[in-house]
Amino acid sequence: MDLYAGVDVGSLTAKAVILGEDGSRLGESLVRTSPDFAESARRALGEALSSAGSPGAEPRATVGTGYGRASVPGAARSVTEITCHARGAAELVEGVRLVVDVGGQDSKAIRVGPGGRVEDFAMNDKCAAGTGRFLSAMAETLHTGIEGLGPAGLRSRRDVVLSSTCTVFAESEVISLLAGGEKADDVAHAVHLAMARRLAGLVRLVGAQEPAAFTGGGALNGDLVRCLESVLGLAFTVPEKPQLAGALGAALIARESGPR
Amino acid sequence: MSAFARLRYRFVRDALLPAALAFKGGRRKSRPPDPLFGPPLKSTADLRRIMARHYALARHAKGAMPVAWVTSGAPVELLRAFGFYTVYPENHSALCGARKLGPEISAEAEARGYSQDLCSYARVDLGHAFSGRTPVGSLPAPDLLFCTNNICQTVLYWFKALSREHGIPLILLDTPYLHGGRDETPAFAYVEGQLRGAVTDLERFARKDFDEKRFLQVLESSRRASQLWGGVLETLRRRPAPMTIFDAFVHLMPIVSLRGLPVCERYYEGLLAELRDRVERGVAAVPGERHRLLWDNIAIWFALGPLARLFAEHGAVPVVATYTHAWAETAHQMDLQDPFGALARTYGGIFLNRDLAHRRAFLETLAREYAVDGAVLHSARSCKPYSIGQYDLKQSLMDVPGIPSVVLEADMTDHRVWSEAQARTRLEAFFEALEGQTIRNSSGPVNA
Amino acid sequence: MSTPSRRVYALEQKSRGRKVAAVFPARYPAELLWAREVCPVEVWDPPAGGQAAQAHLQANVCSVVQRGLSLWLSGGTEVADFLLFSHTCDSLQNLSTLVPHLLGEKRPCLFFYPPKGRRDDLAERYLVDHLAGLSERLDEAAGRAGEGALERAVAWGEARGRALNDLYDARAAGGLAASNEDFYASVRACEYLWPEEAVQRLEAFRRERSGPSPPGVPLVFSGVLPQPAGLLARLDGLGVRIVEDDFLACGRRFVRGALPPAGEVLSTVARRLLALPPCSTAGSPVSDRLDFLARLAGRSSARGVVFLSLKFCEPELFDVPALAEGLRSRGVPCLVLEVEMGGEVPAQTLTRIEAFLETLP
Repeated sequence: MDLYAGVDVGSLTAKAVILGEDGSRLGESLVRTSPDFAESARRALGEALSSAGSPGAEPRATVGTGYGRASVPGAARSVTEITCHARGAAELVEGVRLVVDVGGQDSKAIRVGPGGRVEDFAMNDKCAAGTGRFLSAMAETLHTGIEGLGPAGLRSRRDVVLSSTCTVFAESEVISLLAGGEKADDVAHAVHLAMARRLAGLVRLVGAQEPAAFTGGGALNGDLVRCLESVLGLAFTVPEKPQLAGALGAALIARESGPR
Repeated sequence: MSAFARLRYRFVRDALLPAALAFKGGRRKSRPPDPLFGPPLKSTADLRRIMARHYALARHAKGAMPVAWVTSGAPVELLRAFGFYTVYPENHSALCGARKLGPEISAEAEARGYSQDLCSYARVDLGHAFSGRTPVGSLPAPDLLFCTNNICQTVLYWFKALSREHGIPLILLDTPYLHGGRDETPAFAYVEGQLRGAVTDLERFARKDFDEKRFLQVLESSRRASQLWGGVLETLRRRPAPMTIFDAFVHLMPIVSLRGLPVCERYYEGLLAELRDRVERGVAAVPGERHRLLWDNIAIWFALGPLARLFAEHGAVPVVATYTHAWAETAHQMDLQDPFGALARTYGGIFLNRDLAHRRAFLETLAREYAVDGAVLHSARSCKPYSIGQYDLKQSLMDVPGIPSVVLEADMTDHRVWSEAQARTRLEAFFEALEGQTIRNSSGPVNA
Repeated sequence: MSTPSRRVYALEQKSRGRKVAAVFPARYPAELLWAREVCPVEVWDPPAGGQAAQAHLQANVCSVVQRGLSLWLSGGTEVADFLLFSHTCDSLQNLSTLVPHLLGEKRPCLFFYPPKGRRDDLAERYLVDHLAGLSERLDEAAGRAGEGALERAVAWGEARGRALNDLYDARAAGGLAASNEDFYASVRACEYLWPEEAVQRLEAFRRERSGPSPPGVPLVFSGVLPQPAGLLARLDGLGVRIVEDDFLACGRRFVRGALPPAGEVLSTVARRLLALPPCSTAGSPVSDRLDFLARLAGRSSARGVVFLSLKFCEPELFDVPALAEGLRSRGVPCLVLEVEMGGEVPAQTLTRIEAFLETLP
């Protein structure tokens, strides 16, 4: 059976998804990126092919996306991660109209039309606040680790206000709060709320609508998702393996457009 | 406009509000005295009543009379002659800032694509226009916009956007920037021509003739109020100052928003009398007054309380400000023999519409007249015409009259760009330097 | 055809016996300078000159002002005999007084204030008076204009306007075989070339490039300047064809179509300034600008409009949301990009452009 591959090379992680010609999801991978994008892409693709049971196979068509999309070897074309995330989310969440993606280096809000077409998008890619980078910095300051940040926030029982929107200011504000006796759980929740407000700003630029999906590494933070839901008054679906949405979208496009 | 609306407005103004405000006024709890500060001004209670009344009446003005939204530097006297109810969105934005609602309401404008790098007064106001959110209950939507770009060009861009959003006319007075001491005649003639043109536009809009007599009365009232305000500010020349600039920022509201109305004159008569009485009795706003300061630029509305406290803890008293002086400096130019020419010169010639040489001279004069030891330059992120040049003015104050300054990076209403920790550090370092200077300068008892 | 750098060109003009004025953007009566044999050299985006301006300007001031001040501080305007500042916005306003009044510039610093928010008789009368005053100052700084010199300068301005109109028409109609890079190199030479040379150059460019435009996605661009500097080449690489523009330095610099009626010479100059395309710095109503952009898109068969919002540029940033909304409601796809001056185009900017292209039907 012919295979189709989507490779999403981000600044922190590279992901790949393998689809069969019948559209079935055969394999996937998530690896850490090295500064060599082509090497990272090859590694991600290789691992995904292995997980599909076809190590060393050559996909009929490959589409590259993400920051390093121009460096995906064997890719017939590169498509931006905006288009790919929309397409991927549409596949994972039926009738999706809004996608919020929080990656390592950027966050985006995408308004999606029928067939997963992008109608409008807004991005935050110049400032660390509102991205995975912000969450990592806060996780370190709070000593929860990135995986522990979400659960910490979910345990919060007390409202604490974090007013800084700049990462540098926020870090020192978090330190002051902890020094002032606030619990890490409560401060974590405040961090998520502040970030949710920022994300809500992006969403409002494109228009809030349901069904809505939350993708990217940030979607693994259950408290962040919950905060965004409460700030916007919208329900968000977090698909399984939300970081793979971009690679999935790219693979779908590869299958739709075929080799070029 | 409807007769019913007019009747309701009058009822609210003459019967309902006086009763409600008297009742409310009586219920205010008195706070325990704070040793850092002198006794609170009695006039502040009157001020609160006046502003509450202004915003309460505003809610009933719509439909009763035409409503105009006005920029702080506009010749409102023209509108008063036609009986407009006036709202000052800058004042409203300042209020939102003081209640720490700046970022929240601004977010409504940011959601429509307005950059966070734009003036926060404008963003808060546009945010209000798009969402209706306000801490004052409700503001009457404008029927007409009245804008003068003497204070900045941003008001023009902002009011243009408002005009489009509301679908209403914008009357603009374009006041050319006065640069380099050139002949100002073309600029003032142009402004005068626009003023006369505005009268025609207003007659058409309000569907009534220009009441010249009323206009002259309003001008006279305006002139008197400005002089009274000037008198109020002059009391701060005394040692110790009977009021601080932080107080003055609050007491500024009537001269900005109610100028030309009898209530404005009455208010400042009262405030001036109270301040003169304090001067006679030697009552200080800050009993520990040690350092007298000049404040440049608009107020940091969301931090007035904490700042006043921090300053007072160090005996630092701001006694003069360029911002508060703006509504007093051109009062003497109101010449009733040539009202339109006078208005053109008064409003076209405000200090913000003049070059930095003029600004430097103005700062030097104020520093000298008020005998200040140092200056605090608020670099307001939102306000470029007021802020660009401050770094060099700081330098220039070091030369003449030889006083140190500190620059505070902040904003009027957007507290997201403010780091209290950073500001505190800068100010404390500045106060330490002033203290060191005072100790060095003093011979004998430490000079207050 | 390569163009010498502004500094080299300015020196060459001086060796020909002309004077040179360093002009800060945007609108100004060039004819008054030409009539006195003064070659205006506009300062829009000189190469980044280090951090010297930071000591005088807050961080949130736009690059036009930052770089302009940097240039001045580093002696980059030394070749000029005097400076002319146009009141375009609050930041340029304060630059115009910072330089002479606080930073000690000794050469004459002239100032031009075009009317804001109105184009009526009052505005014209003011402008004529203002131009008369400016003329006196120019007499002091550069000597008087000879007999008929101003009328001749007005004719040069007309010729340059015609040449620009021809060039823009050809491009909009798909009949100009030129890349984005080459087009703007040609048009932007108007920022400093002596008018007669500018006309020759524009006409030659039009002639040499007559032929079908390169293939690509036709888009209208709006903003202050085509920046960052590497953007035009990248757009060429992406297959984007700029078919019309409303750049302050380019598409807004000349009267489109028929000129207003001439009168007494200063009135003519004034009327032409007032007849320039709608502009945020002139306080033009948003609806005027919207109509103008929609017309540009229509006449060039553009598939969308891209707004290059220069970071911190207030007049543009206030207009863009309503313009984008207005165009979208008329079925014109829009992309709003925040850009900064620089060489390389940030990956994020390219991604957004590519994503936009991917959304076009």
